[in-house]
Amino acid sequence: MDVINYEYIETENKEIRPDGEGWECWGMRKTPTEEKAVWRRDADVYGEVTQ
Amino acid sequence: MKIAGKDPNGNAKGVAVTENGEVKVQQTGSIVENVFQREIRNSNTNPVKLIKPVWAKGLTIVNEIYGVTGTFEVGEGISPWIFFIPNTTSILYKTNFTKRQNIGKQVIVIYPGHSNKPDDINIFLEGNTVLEVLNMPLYLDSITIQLDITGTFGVGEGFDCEVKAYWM
Repeated sequence: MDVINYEYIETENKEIRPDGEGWECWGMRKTPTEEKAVWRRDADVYGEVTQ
Repeated sequence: MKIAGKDPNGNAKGVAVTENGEVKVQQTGSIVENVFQREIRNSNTNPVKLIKPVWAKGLTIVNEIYGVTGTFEVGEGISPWIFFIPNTTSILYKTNFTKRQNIGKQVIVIYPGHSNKPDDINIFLEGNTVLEVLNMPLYLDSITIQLDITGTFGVGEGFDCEVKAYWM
């Protein structure tokens, strides 16, 4: 089975979408010190994140 | 063609050379091992045993974490475990590293005589990379690696990660 080459980015919450196309909300990452929404998209389709 | 040489006992032996006089050598074993291929994990992996190439003196293990979802309490997350198992009834050495709860790399260097820090302190490199150094020899012909993963995960959540090992 081919593994999707996901790229990821985090935002403060699920209401804030990252810039660019193809992002889907994967879920939340919650730790004792922070809580972030995690977004992912296929890097082979949409390219790597540039920040 | 061959030139005259000696073995470790001082006995005469022929040494293969090229037409330019360069000694022919052959390296055995793979330098890079794909220990755990990239995929999303939310529970411990099975242990994987690596056979040490005869020439290797050390090993660098890289756990690259591309993405993370889940809920983590203090002390939860992901970290490699390393085992030196001389037989089926005992574990010669095992160590737990600081668990990560976010993206980045965990780099573990095992090499005799190489210690640029106390073993209980992390050195933070560029970005989200954490280096752990074990000043110890690879005193067995194999090493076993496992990923320890703890946390609370929904369906499809976990660590998108892969582990590679580089013999040195």
